Amino acid sequence: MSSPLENNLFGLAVVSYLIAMVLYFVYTVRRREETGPAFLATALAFALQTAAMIVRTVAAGRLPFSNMYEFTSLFAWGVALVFLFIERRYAIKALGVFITPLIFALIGYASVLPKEITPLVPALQSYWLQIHVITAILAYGGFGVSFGVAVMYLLREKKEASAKAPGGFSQLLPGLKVLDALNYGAIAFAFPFMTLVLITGAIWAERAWGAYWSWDPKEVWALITWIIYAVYLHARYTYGWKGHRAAWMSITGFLAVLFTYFGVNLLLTGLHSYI
Amino acid sequence: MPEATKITCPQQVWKWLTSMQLNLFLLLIIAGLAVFGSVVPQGEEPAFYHQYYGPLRANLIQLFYLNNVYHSWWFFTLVFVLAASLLACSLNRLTPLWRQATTFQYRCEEESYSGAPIEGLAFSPKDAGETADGLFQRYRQRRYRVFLAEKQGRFYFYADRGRFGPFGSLVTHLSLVVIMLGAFYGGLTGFKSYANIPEGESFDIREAGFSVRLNDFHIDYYDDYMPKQYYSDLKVLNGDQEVMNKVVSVNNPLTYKGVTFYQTSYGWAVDGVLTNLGKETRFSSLDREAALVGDDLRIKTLFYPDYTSDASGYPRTRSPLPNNPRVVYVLYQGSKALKYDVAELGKPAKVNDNITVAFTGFRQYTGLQIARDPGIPIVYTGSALMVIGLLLSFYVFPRRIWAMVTPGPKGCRVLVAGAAPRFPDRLAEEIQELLEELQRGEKNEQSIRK
Repeated sequence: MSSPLENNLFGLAVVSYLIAMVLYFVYTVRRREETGPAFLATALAFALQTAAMIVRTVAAGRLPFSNMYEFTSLFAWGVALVFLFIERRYAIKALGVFITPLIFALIGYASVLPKEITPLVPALQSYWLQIHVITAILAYGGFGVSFGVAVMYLLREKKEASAKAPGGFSQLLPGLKVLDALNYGAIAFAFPFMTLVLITGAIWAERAWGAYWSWDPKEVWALITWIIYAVYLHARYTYGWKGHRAAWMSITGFLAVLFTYFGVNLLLTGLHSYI
Repeated sequence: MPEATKITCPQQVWKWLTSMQLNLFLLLIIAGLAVFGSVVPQGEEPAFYHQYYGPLRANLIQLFYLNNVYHSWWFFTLVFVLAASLLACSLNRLTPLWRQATTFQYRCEEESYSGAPIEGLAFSPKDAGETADGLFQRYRQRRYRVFLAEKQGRFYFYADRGRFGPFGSLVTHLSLVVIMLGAFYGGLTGFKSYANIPEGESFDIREAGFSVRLNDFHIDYYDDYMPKQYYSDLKVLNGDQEVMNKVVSVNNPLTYKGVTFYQTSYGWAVDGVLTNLGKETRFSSLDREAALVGDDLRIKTLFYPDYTSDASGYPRTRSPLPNNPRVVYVLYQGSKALKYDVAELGKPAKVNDNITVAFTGFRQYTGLQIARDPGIPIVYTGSALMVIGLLLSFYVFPRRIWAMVTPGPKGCRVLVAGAAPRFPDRLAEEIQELLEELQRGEKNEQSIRK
């Protein structure tokens, strides 16, 4: 079992993410632009979650990177990390309303998964595990943020098209140009890491399974995800697919991320049975 | 139609091959097919698909090779065309990119400024020479490559940074071609096989001309008997001579002359002797594998190291430790099962009037994947190139700035142009800042300090 200390820290982190999400919603409903406390709640939740992971690392004698609970929690952590960075640096209005539900959904799902510290099966005993997972977290974090931003873009666009009187919720959203640039920025940040996920996975697979590429469903779906974002980048440079189309492609890409992560495990069978 | 153009107009083929549409289309098609490959189980027997999908869908699956997507001829064709297209695109861009990175031209005509992606104009109260020198210092300080020339009192200025950034995309695309080549080469020249070797036995690798012997096998367990790690002490033999010795485990393979031995699985083997009408046949049988023990006799064994039976009488093992070893076996004559029983070691069991079976010992065997893939170094080189290419593409910000300083009655007139394909807005801001400083006639030192 995981230690009571870890469970308490993790529970507090879940509650803090929930508070952050509620605060962001309340501020949005009240049309308030100043969202400092919500940001602080997110940062606090992030710190608590990090502490829980440190406690677990100490208890397990290894980084908590190797089962569904650990990785789902890390996924939430990665999205929170990229979100906090962007929020602090660029202060994008209303971003939190769209990102905190995603973080909360991920960590909420993690919280119902079995938490015991399981020993590592032989295939996972490799330092490539750490490298592979860290790159995945950064990639997924960036893609998660780009997804939230793409949803914001489509909402704002819809509001602008309906040409209602100014005011209301869309007022809180940043301009379309800013959202589009941020969507691109998050993907441009994540894409090299996604490439590293594939490369480090291949090197590790060669050592552990005897082939760098086995067309395992997880590999295939990671490749499909990579291709979708590669097409996004090319369409942007060459055809100037910005704004509306880019937002939809970004959403499609993140759905592929989610399928790679959850769908492959639940629906398909393969070598990659740990996470 | 494409056939006709291929013959008559190679240029058109080239144009088609280097078009972005083709590349994106191919990528999406490949991704789409990969989806089928991940959903439809791959490489099963035809009967499986008939049973699972029904005759109509099973036939469709086989018609389009959806049961073996990644090794089908059309998948290869798509990947091949993609590689050719990527290569063609890269070759197409090589010369212009190289020229752009290694040469530059001052902009000497007023018109060439109004056509630039970013342009601006400022009047500085300072004289032309001082202003030009200020530009030179300012951009040198900002780690640009700077050039300044003077002709008939006019100053021409050029500066750039990150000029190799545009190669990032080229390197990335070429790296994909390298990876595909490596995979193709490895597939053509390599081999992959699988061997179960009991302790003390050797295995000949025909493809490589040497053999491997398992000296010893052991498993480290966690408290709940989950395997922590398993180890095969392997000896590589060239003829009778030992050439290499290494203990391999999962994630720690052995490589000899390009052939790699990967620890993949393990199991039990039992040794025994079968007596048929007074004739003894010794055998060694791996779990679940049938061993031939006479002209038409086969034996299948399953070893239980710590035997017990559950409530419904099925054999079980309490632990992986040999505390209570038993062998469950089936003896077949032709396709008929003669005997199914649980045997103790060392106790001969009578099958019928003619045949007795005795199990004499047990060993562990190791499951090794044995593979040679000469494409691996190429694939890894391609991967490294891809990382370099992406770093150049995403983390280098290429920008170029031109200026022309013309002396005027009260100072000078400065025309500025800029180009930054990745972040034009950022450079535009930077140039705006420069223009304002020029207009105010700030001292060089100030702008440098900033």
